[in-house]
Amino acid sequence: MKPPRRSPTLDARALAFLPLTPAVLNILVSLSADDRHGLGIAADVKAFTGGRLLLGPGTLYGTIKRLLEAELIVDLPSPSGDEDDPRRRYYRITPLGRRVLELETEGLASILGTARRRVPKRT
Amino acid sequence: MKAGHRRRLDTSEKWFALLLRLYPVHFRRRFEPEMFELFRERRAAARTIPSRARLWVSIVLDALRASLRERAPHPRWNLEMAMQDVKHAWRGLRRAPAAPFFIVLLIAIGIGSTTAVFSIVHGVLLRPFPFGEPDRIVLAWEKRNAVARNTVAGHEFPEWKARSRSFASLAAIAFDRDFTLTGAGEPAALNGVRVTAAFFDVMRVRPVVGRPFGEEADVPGHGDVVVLSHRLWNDQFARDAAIVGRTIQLNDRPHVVAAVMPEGFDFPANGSGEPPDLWTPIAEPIQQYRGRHYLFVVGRLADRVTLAQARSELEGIAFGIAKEFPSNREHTVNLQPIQSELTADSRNPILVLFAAVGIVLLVGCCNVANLLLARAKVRQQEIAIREALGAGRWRIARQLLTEAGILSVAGATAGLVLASWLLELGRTALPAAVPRIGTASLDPVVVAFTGFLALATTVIFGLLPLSSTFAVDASERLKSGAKGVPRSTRQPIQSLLIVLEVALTVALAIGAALLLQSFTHLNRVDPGFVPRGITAMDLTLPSSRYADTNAQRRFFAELVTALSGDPGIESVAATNMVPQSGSRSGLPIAIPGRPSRAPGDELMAQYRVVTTGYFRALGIRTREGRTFTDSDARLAVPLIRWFERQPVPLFFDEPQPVPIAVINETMAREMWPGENPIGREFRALFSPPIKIVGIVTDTRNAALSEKPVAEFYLSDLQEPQQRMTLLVRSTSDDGGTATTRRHVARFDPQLPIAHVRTFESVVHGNLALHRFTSSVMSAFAAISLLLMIAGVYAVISYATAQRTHEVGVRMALGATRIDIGRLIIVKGLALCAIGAVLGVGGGYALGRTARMMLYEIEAADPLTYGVLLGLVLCVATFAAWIPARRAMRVDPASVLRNE
Repeated sequence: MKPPRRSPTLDARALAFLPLTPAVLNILVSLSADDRHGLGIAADVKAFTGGRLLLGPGTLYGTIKRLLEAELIVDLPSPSGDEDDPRRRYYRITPLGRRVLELETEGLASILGTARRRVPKRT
Repeated sequence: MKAGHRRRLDTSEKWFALLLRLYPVHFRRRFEPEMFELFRERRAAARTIPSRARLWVSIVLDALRASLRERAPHPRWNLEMAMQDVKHAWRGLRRAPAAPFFIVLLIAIGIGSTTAVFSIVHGVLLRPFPFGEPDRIVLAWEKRNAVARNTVAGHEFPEWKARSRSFASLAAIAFDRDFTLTGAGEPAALNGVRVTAAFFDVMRVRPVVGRPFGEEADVPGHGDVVVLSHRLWNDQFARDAAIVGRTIQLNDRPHVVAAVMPEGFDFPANGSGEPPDLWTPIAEPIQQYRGRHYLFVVGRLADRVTLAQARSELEGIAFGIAKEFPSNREHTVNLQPIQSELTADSRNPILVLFAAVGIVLLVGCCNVANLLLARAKVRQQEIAIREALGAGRWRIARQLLTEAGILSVAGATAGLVLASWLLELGRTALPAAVPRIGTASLDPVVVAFTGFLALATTVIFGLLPLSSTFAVDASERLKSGAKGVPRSTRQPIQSLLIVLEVALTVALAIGAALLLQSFTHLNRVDPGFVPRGITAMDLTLPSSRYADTNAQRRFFAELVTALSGDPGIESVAATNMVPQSGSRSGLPIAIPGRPSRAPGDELMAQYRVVTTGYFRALGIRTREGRTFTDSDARLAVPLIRWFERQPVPLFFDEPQPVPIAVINETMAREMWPGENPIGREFRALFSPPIKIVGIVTDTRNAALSEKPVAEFYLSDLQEPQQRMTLLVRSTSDDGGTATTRRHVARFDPQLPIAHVRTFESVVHGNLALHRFTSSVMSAFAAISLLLMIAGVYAVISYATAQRTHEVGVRMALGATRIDIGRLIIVKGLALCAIGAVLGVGGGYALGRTARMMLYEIEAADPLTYGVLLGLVLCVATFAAWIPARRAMRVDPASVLRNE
């Protein structure tokens, strides 16, 4: 299945980011579903990895900062719903970020498929 | 904005805030509140202590990693920048390889020797012993008058145990029996210790298999159980886990194996430092052995009881015993933590070595600093240009640090290699009596120590040149660089380094000289006997086959006769205690006809049981009277009875030779001053009167460093022994071992010969620690002296080179060459003299620390100090003279022309 829009320039830019570090991958995966603030990302990642990946504060916000600089995500003004905590900033994945995530996922899916075929399952 | 977290921080939040300081300001400003929030959330989730610990480890690692990345000068990645620094530094070092080479060499010597000695310090002194809660275990000794550590007597220990409340458990240990294992191949002589069952409660070490024997085994007659060491289990029983419950033959009696102790559990080692092979119960009526000091006592302090409380309680009990037994008056108790006690003998030498090696490291570091400073001066111009071209100070500092880092890492790596080699050397050179010396290794703690040293050298010596570089304005440096003459000829840091180097070297040289002289003195001491060419072998007769003292006497008499008739044997003798083997046995002496001495103040004498030929075989001369002959043999043996009601021996009433003794000169002088002791009598403990038949020359039987003490000899024909050491002198290559074995096997094929060693090695073994420390100290002192010469030379010649212009001007103004030479040398010598004076103080401190190892020399020996001060100053003058001579040859005309 191919994604609907493919821009060669976007792909070229996106490929430069591969492969992703686990922190980047997980943050992008988390933001691919919804806009979230930092704590939200940490909680989401913890939830969908079943607690196996706990992003440390430095890793989390350091990665967020680099993702912002690389324009894979952008930050949003805090939505009105979170007025009690004006400190929290929300982050949203950019089209570039989404493309990076797609390419990485394809790569991972292919290696996963190969691995599933070749490595006998333990019973 | 920050109102949310401006509330008071609790402790862990403060720590976290501290960690956040690692990040750059802009990062903190943006993310700090949220990071705090995440931290609180995580902390709330971690409730148990282990999960808290895990949290903190991950938080700290995370902060280090992330902050490093945030602080990286380039947003993309730090690594290539670092690589660039390394490449740049490498090019810089390659340009002038001599100085870096020496720096690496100096660091390697300093770090290598320090690491080697530290691994010994760590392995022997610092690492906790493998006992349960070793800091609660204490050793208890009887203490009387001059003797701080006396073994505990049979009537004392049961009282201590019954009356004290300060101990969770209190156990006795005895080394008085040898063990022979039979029925498993060759008969094997084993190192066994006898302990009371509480021993295992004190040590709290879980056996590999089985359970140690309990209190029921302490009952006399129920002691036929044994706990095996891991080594014995491995060597003799192939790690058979089914060994527990099986019976083995020890001293011809079946013993049930109760348990096997784990590997590395080597307590208590015997007097020669050998670890035990097995533990069996004492299982005898200990309290009957009144006045027999044969027990080592070990205890575990009860909960919340301090060492001082336990000590005062035991002292109170000892006071009570002294009331009942007047002979116990003045006997108190000495209680010591086990860790310090087990390492007591080696602590002093090892710490002295550590101090010495620290000095070498410091002197080496002084030289490294000197070299780097000189380099920095040369590179001032280069640095100034780079600064003028826009390189930030941080960039330059990083460059210099990278350089220092490369040098330190190279030095530390070479140092580790050197250390492993030195450690190997040290382990073989140090006597086996140093506990745990075999386990000293370059383990993670030691490598971490090396890493710390390397890091410290990097930071200190990387930054030192920096301070002097940045102290002067860049434009100034550019200007002065253009002229090739620095503005200032004063070198405060270098001067300080010279003073320090000389002081440290003088201190170390004094320490080494004191130890070396002590060792020389000790080596020259005449022990009073000739150990050369003698082989010592232990023989223990099992009680089962030699229960009767007459049988024991007959065995040794016949064996010695057979051996002395063998043409392969020059001489043969036997004794119950080999001189200088660590064991001693003192008895109170009473002289009939004299008023009995106050209890606690009795005359004491050491004693040995020897065969007839002992004195001749060891070259001990007879001063007066005679020594033993075969016709002294008595039917009624033994003479020494250990408790008052011990039954008198058989044939006591038969007519027979009287009990006799040979005494040494010291005993004659101390106990019969101005009289002829021959023909006089004395009693030892509960013995019948013993008649003195001869006086022999003094021997140093305890140690070379200990003056001879009063001592008497008994003949084994009158005081048979179950355990004797054969002393065989033979011309054959194996020292007569094979011949002896053959003869012993002819008498009793079940009897093992144990512990074959040369007598010389026994005596030398006692000197090994002295030899090791004094030679290592001397090597360190020599290295330090060489480094000092190099340092003084480098600094003075550098300073002189800087003053070439000044020298030229002075000469042009009429100064003679002698004036110039004096100018240079006096300045150098003044610094050295300051250092030397400081060094004398250091040397005295070192000598005081080592005073336990000093023999016939004082820590404040004026001659040593004078000679070494003279030597060091001579050497310093020499080092200053070379550059001075160069300065004297300066041609004023050419210098001024260059102006």
